[in-house]
Amino acid sequence: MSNMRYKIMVVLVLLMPFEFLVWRVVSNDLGPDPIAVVADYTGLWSIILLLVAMTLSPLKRMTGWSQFLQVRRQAGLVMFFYASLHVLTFFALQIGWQWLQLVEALTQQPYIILGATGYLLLLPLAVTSTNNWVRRLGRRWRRLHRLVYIALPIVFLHGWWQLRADGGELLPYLLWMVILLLERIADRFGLLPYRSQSVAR
Amino acid sequence: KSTAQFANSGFYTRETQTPFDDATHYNNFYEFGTGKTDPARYQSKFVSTPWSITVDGHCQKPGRYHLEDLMKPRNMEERIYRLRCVEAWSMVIPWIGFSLGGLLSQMEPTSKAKYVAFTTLQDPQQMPGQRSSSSFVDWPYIEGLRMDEAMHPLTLMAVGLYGREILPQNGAPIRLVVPWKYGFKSIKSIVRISFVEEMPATTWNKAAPDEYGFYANVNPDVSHPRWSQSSERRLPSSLFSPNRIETTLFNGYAEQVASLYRGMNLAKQY
Repeated sequence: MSNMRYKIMVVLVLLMPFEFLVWRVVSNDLGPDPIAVVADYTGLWSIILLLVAMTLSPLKRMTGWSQFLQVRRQAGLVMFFYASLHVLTFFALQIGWQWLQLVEALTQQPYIILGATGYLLLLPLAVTSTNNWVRRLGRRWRRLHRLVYIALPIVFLHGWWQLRADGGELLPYLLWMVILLLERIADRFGLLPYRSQSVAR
Repeated sequence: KSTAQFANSGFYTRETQTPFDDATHYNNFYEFGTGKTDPARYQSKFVSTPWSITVDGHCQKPGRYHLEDLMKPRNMEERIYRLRCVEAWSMVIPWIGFSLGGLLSQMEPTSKAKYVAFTTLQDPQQMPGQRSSSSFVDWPYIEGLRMDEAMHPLTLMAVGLYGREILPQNGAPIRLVVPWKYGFKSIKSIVRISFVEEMPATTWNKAAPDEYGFYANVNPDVSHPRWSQSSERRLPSSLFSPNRIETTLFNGYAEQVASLYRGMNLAKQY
């Protein structure tokens, strides 16, 4: 399989939840409160895709297969697509482009502030994902993209804050996030049992 | 009573009713799971007959009553009420039931009975949500009303909806409906009614006291700490028209119930 075909395949697979959502919209299967369903769904898949994108480098470290890293940009961009849909759902559907409501939400609802912060932190990462920007920024590109370590917990907290009665829904993702972060720390201090590329950084 | 008197009492509204399918497949009944469709999905093993209610506390006629015996002497009425969820969505539902006040009077509460506490069935075998180990709330579910709220003519014990017997996902076989309060006050599948002297510790109030007050009166001016209560989505809504309407004080029943709260600071006693 050519490199290009491989990347396209991965993007199509990562977009499957979106295709499923479109199918549910078309078949009118979202229940009496579809906006809330779409908001929850796109939010959850943003978090999952963010975790997926951040799992690729440890997978590469573990297996040595560079194919994992080759699709990290694609995973990140698909994640940003879900996050943008999520923000759009909030803007267009939930508050109906009413700026006053937006101001109210941003000043009174802490979890909206968190969500907006998370999105704004991810925005420059999506913009600078092109080869051109990677070249132009050089060493600074890497430093800039460490913003993801701030964005992830913020985005996760934003999601956790919606829970009303049961942490079970987000618990698997919390564990996933903690393992990812611990792996990064272990890698940093050279404590990993498998060979690491990044120790010599 | 004439129809007009009935309407003036708040017993019905001409607003568009929520379709039966939506009212029975979009429910918050965490005993069956936290998803809106969980109650309809997991209710099939729920047994609501026979059913009995234990009445205890400060009253002359405590005991364990069969539901049929409690219902037999009562006049069943249809009431069409707005239902406003604390999550900022709302429905219009035709209930069938009877005033709680008559039932409570039958038990002859004493002067020490200042509040009424209600308990939902606890049975993890039948209610999978009660088996969840990651739940933030304690079971059984407990709710309560001040005595004057409980005796108010609008306060309904519902045993049916849309002209038929009530379904498990809506609180079978008997539930409370307090139309001027957020939906979580309207406790479902009631197995115990207790007359108590102190304000009872209620489930949501215990779980998050800054978010869910004991009174939980619908109030557009008192925001939930996580979202505004000034408007609501009247369900069913569609993807491109949210059907957003303004929320009104006491869910539009101010004329009937505002006097219960005279002199109270509603922002503090929310």
